[in-house]
Amino acid sequence: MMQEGLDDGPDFLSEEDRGPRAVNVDLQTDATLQVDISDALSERDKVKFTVHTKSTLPNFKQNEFSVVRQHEEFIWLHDSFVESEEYAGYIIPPAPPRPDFDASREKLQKLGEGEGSMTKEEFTKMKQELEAEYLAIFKKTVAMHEVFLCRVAAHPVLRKDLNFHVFLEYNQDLSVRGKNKKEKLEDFFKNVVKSADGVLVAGVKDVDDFFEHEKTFLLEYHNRVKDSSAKSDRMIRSHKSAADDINRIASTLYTLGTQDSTDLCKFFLKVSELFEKTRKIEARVAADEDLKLADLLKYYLRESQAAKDLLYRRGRALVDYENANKALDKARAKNKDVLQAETTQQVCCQKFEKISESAKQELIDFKTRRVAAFRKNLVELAELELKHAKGNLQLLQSCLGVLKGDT
Amino acid sequence: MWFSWSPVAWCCLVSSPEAARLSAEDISPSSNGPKAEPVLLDDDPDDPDDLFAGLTSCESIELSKCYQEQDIYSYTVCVCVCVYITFLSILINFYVCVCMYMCIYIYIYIYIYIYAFIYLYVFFHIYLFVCFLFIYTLFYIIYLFIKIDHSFLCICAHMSILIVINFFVFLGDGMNAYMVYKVLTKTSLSIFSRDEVCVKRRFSDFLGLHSKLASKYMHMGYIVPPAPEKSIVGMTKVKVGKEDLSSVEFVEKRRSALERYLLRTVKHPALLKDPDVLQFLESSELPRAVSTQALSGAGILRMVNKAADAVNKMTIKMNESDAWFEEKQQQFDNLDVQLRKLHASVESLVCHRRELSVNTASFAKSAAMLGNSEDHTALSRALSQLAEVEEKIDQLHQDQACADFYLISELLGDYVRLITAVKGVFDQRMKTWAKCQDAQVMLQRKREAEAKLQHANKPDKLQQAKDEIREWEGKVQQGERDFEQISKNIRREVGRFEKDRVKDFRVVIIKYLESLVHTQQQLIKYWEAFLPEAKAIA
Repeated sequence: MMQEGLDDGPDFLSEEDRGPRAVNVDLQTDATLQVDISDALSERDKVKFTVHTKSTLPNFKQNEFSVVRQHEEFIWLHDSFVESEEYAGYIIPPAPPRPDFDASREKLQKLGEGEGSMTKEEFTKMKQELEAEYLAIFKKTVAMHEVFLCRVAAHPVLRKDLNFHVFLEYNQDLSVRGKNKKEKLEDFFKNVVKSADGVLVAGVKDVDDFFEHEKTFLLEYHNRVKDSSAKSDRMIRSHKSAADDINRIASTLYTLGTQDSTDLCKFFLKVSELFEKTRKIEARVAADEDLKLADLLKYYLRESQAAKDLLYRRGRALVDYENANKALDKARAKNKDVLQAETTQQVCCQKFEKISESAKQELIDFKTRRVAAFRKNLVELAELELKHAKGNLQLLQSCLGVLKGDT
Repeated sequence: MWFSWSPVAWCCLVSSPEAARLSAEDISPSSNGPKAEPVLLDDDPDDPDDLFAGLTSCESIELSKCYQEQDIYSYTVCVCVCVYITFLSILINFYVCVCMYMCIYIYIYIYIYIYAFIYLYVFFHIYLFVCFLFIYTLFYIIYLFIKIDHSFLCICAHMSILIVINFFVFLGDGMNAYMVYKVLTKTSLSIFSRDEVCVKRRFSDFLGLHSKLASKYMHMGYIVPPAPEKSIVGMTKVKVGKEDLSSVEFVEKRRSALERYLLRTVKHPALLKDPDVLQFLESSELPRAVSTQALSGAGILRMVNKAADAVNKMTIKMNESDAWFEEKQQQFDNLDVQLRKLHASVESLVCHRRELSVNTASFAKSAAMLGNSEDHTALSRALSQLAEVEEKIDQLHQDQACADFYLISELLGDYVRLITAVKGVFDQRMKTWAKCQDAQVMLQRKREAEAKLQHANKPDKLQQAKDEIREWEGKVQQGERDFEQISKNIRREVGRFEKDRVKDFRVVIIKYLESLVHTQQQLIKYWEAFLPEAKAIA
């Protein structure tokens, strides 16, 4: 239905163009492998991303190439990381959320139905707004997919993954289909089992203080981030609806102004103009808050979940190791299958140590990344709020000056 | 917080440069109670009789603030003058002393004169001292006088009236409980018997006043301000004794609505002089207005009348000879539609802002908890700061929502009701016209009957017919005069209404914009305080 390119934007969103691209992550740009999403197309219910790679690594046939990918293929890549045993010791960058234009589409439909009941100007204005909102959501989802790819490319181990290279290079369809109902049900059961297991594993006290501390910290942090994220979403939504009300007030004032025969007509027209401008600013404030605060919290919600998964995997490995030790002791006591038990124990031990080592580094990196991201976003949030408040103030004061001067 | 808005915001100080002349001329209200002649105004488009041509409520706020300021001002003036005189006197004293001593020194060989000089010197100083004492007391008396009588200093040559509705008492119990409002009237107009009157009134008393005024003046074309609406739900909640925010707000809303209603009523030059209004504001006991209850006989009669009016409006087809009326009617219809839409949008804005403030508060709490669980100290501190900023912002949003409500939303509500009253007045004119037409039709019929009787030659019936014709001719003339009068009145009233409307809207919107400016300034302050904290995260 709607075909839009990435750079089709009304002016007031254009300065946020740079923003979403590196919203939550502090990346070291590495010349050997640079990935970005150069274009995106929105079709009826799919979004097609053009993934563009620039690389000097020898295993790629060319130095620069592009492929078209869909959301499901990103999910496939993420799942392949999660399921692989090799990357058990790393925090897997969280998968990007599904592009969700349902809410926006619904609103557009409602607008179309209500076309008869409002004036032409109101209709065009609301349509423009909805289109801008659609565009904003679109840009956000593109940014999230890009952040995922960049994280993978920046990770020293994950960037060498074969699946990743195939994803970047193979220019035909990966024939990855979304999970059908049966698979979704299987996933659901797997999740239930996993969470039960997680509780069990978490109960096991860890020898290492660092990991014990991290476990308790992450659990608490994850819950609180979830709470904050939900509340910030609600706050931003009510901010947006207040801005919408100001829009309606502005248009009614305009009609009043055109109809009025007394001195008030100029007054009303001026105030209506003022409200239009302040509404735009309020909408941008809400959008900026959404970008800097809500997205930050949502991203760290997912990241902390990924970190928790890492700890879970390590806990699982620890339990396996301890079980293998017990099995070995039992086998030695019974003097049966000792060799087999020994090999299993060795394997478990190696696995556990490998995971522990990389996990420690990952968790420290996670913390640094988190602090840096929060700092950047909070600073930007405060600066943008200040900028908008100052702009708003100036508008109000100039209008007030004109109105007072008229009387 | 919103308590502070209402009494200050709606004190209406009004000035009348010609009140003295007016009170000599006016038709003194007879003391026969509610049947007194309604007061008529001269027909003057410029309205020199308008007692309230002066101040807007914006200026009135400044003047009521000026009461307090004048107090301090007069006090400081007096103190300064006293201190100045003291120093002056000391200086003079000193100078005189020096002169005296010089004189004495020169004439020291005439020692006999020393005593004289000494006596002179002492008495002169005592005299000076007494003089200055007298001047001090004079100033002190003036200061006291100024302090007690503000209006003397403040508005000197103007007459004024100030109405404030203070809080109330809950009398009775259970479901029969009712709210009693204390109405304080401060005035220097001569039509009032005292300068300051404080009476207790119930809500039904206000409604009773309105219905009396409406029955007297609406049919003459005067726009009678509508009383605040009954609200059974709100009142019941308050009666049940719930101390929560919504019932407190309801009471405050009603109180400020009643205050505005009274102020609008006294702003109208004819209504101010009406004996009912004077009785309402001054007499301590008022007969209970039972007819305002919804289920009383009078209430039902009102409803029946309203229905009959609605039907009549649809059937009367007036051929409008005056284009002005048609244009004005169209204008008021449009205004009505737009104001209602605006009112609805503003109410929705108030609702959303309140929601925003609640959500911001809960986000602040959650951010504080997040800050607590964060183990990086600088980030933890920054998050707690963010939580504090958001909490302050939530308070700001709440205040802004109150401002939205009390300034704009209530004003719009009042004007929606006022425009209904204006439309009612136009309908009255239509009814008068219809009566005039009916009288003319009757006259025509009587004339035809007379003509028929003349042919039939019945002398006694003829005389009766002639009498009836004369009677109906009189009625037709009266009808036409009434119609003329009501049209004139309406023109003047609409002019006055438009002037008031322009003033009110202008003042309120400017005040509202100022409140928005204040909010933005506060926001800037809070975020500026937060920015260095955020930057300090290492």
